[in-house]
Amino acid sequence: MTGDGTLVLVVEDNSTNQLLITAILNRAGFRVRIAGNADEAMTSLTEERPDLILMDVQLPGRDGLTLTRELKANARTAAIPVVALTAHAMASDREAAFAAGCAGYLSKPIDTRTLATDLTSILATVAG
Amino acid sequence: MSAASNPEPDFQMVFESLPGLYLILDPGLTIIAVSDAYLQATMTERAKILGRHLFDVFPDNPDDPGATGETNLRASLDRVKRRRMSDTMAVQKYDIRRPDSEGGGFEERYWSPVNSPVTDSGGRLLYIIHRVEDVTDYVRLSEERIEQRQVTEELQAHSARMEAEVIRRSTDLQSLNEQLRSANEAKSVFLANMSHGLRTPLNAILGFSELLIDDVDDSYDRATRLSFLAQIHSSGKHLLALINDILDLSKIEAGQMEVRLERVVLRELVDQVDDLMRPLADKGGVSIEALIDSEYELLADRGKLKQMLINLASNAVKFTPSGGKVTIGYQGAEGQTEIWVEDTGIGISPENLSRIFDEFQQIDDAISRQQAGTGLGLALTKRFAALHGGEVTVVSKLGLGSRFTIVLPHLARADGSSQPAMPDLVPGAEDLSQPLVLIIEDNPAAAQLLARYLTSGGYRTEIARSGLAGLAKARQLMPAAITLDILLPEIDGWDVLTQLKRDEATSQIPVVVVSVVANPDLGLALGALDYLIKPIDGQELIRLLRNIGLASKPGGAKARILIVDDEQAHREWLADMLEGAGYSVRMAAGGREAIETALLDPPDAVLLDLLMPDVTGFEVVDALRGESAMSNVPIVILASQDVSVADKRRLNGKVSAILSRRTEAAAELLGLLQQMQVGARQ
Repeated sequence: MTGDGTLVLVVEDNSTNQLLITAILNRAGFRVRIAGNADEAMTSLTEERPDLILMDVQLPGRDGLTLTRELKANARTAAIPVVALTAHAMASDREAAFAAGCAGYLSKPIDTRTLATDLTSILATVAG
Repeated sequence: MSAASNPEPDFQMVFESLPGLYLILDPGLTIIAVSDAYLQATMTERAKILGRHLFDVFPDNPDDPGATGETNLRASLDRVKRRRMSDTMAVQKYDIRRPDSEGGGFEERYWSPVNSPVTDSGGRLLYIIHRVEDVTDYVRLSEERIEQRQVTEELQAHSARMEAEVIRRSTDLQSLNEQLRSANEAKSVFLANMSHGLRTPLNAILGFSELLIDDVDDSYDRATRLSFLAQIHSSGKHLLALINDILDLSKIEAGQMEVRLERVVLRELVDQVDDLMRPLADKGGVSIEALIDSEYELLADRGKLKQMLINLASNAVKFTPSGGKVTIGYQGAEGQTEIWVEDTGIGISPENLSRIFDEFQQIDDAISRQQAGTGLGLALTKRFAALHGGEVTVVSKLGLGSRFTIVLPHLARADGSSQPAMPDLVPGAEDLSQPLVLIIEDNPAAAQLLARYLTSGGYRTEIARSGLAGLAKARQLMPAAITLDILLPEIDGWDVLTQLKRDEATSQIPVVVVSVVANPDLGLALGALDYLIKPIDGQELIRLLRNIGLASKPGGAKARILIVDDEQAHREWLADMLEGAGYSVRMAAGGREAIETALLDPPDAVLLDLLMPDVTGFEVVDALRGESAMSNVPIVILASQDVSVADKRRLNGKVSAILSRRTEAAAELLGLLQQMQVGARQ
C-alpha cells in the first residue's frame, strides 16, 4: 500500500468530493480526516497532527491559501506539507499556491487513479 | 449755323440730350423740362407731359394698393421746398405706365431719385431738378446675390446637419459595439460558468464510477458501493436539471418559449409543490404551510408557474435552518395576483440581493455551497414571470428570512370576479363580403386580441365563449373558418373539434387550433392543452396509474401494463419500476410487436413511446383504437420531445394522456387526466 497508514487532512467543503477523496485515499492505505472549512481544519490540527494536508483553494470564508499562509507562519504547523487542490489549472494559480507555501499543486477534476501516487511522491520529495 | 460759330450754347438742346434722367419742375410741381433719356425710360413723349402736374403724369399704379412712390416723392419734394437742400430718396419701386402702343399696363422699375433745388440769389425757389438713376439691374443683381447667399447658407446648414448625422451614427455604432462587446463578454462568462456547472457533476459521475470499475477484488462493502451509486445518481439528476434549465433559458433567449395559459387552481398547484418539497423539508426539519384558498383560480402557464414555485420553495427550504418555517401565500389584489414564498431562513445581504436573479450567481457561502442548485433557478423564475407579463420581487433581512413574490398581472385573473367585463367585438358597419371567422375562446382578453388581429387582416369575427356556444354558432353562421381554444368550459376543444367534424353541415369548415408563441403580450392571450415531458418520475407514474383506476390490489389480479419503447434501457427501467410497484408487465420493443401483443391479450393500460423506428406510436394508437378489444384501454404517451399541436391533433381523442420526459412536469398529469375524465377499466 502506498499510503501505509499516513494521515491526510482533507480540507474540502464539497461533500461529494469529501466522499470521493476519502474512498481513493482509503483504498491506497491512507488514513483520512475531513474538515469542511478553515475553522474545522484548525480544530482537527489540534486534535491530531496529519502527515499531509490536501487543501481545496476555494473554501467558504477563509480561503485555502490564506489558511496555508497562517499554517506556515505558525511554528507548530509550518512543517506539515500542504498540497493545494483547485478547480483552475492556470499557471498563475500554481504560482500563487507555491507562493503561499504549498509543497504541491493538484488541479480538479480529481483523478481517482493518480491522486494517491501523486501525494506519495510529494511526500517523498518533502522527506528527501 | 455751327456750334463753333455760335459761342452761346443751346442749353435747351444740351439739357435734353443729357445722358441721365432729368425732370425740371417749377415750385408748383409742374413739369417744365424733361431729358430725352427720361422720356425714353418712362416711355412717354415730351409734348404729353410738359406743362402738366407731376402727379397727373406719373400717378401710382392704381392696381397696386401698396404703392408708395407718389407719397415718398411728394414728401421729398416738400423737404426740398422747405429746406432748399438736395434730397436723396431711398430706392423706389415704380410701376411705369407703358404706352398703349406697346401694350399698355405697368412695368416694374427700381429708381434712385434725387431732388435738388435751384434758387435765385435771394434764396427764392425757382426750380426743382428731379434726377433719377435707374438701379433696376443693380437691385435685380443684389436680389440674386441674396438668393444665392440663401442657397449657400442652406447648403452649409445641410452639410452641417449631414456631419452631425454622421457623428451621431458613428456614436450609435460605437455604443452598439460596446453593447455587443459586453453582451459577448456576458455570454463568455455564462459559458464559462455553465461548463464549470456541467463539469462538476460529470466529474463526480466519472470519479465514483471509476472507483467501482477499478474495484476488481470487491474491496468495498455494500454500503460503500451504494453510497458511490447514490452519488452518481444524484450527480446525474443534477446534471439533467442543469441541462433542462439551460435549455429553458436558451429557449427564452431565442424567443421560442411558449406560454400556454390555462385555468389554474392555485391551491392544487401549491399542494403539488408542497408534496415535492416534503422530503427535503422533513430532512431539514423545516415546516411548510400553504395559506391558499381552495377556490382561487388564475390564468397562467401551469408548468411554468409550478416551476417558479418549486424554485422559490426549494430555495426557501434549503436556506432555512432546522425548526424554521416556509409559508406560501397569495393575494388577489386589484390588477394582479401576488403569490409569495416566505421563509424564516438565513436571509440575503443587501449587496447580494441585487444579483441573485442573475445566471450562475449563487451566493458564495458555506450553506449555498452545500446546496446543489443549478444556479439558474431564480434567473428562470424571473424570466418565466416576465413571459407572463409579470415579475418577481424580493425583500430580505439577514438572519430573519426572505420573502419572494411572484406578481402576475390582472389579465391572468380568470375567475371573473374582479376582471372587468370585456364586451364582445360587436360588428359595426362591417363589410359582409369579408369572410367570417368564428373564435371559440373563453378568455375575453384573448378573444379580443384574436378578433383585433383578424379584423385588421380583413375578416369579420364572431366570438363564442364556450364549446357549446361555439358549436351552435358554427351551425347557425357557417363561418369560413374557426379558431379553437382547447381548454374550454363545459366541453373542451377536442370535443368541439370532434363534433364539428361529425356534423355534415360543419365538417368542411377549416379549424385552426390556436397556439401562441412566447411573446409576453401574445402569450397572455391564449391557452392550449398542456403536456408533459420525459424522463418520467417513477412515483408520479404510479400515482397516475392509480388515478386512472389501475391500483394493484392485494390478493387480487395484478393490473397488466404493456410498455412500448424502442429504448431498451428505458423500457427495462419502466418494467422494473412497475413490477416493484405490484404491476404485471409486458414489453414491446417496437410498434408492430406492440400491436400484436396487445391484440393477442389486451392489457389494462399501454405506455407508448411516440417515436419509434418501424411503426410509430401514432400508428399504434390508430391500430389499437380500431379494435373493439382495445378501444377503451387507457394509452399513456411517452413523448421524448415536445409534442406539437399537429401531433396532438393526430392523437385527438384517442389517448388518455401525453406524458413527457421531464420529472418536474409529471405531477401535472393527474390534473390533466381528471380534466379528461379518463375512464378506468377495473
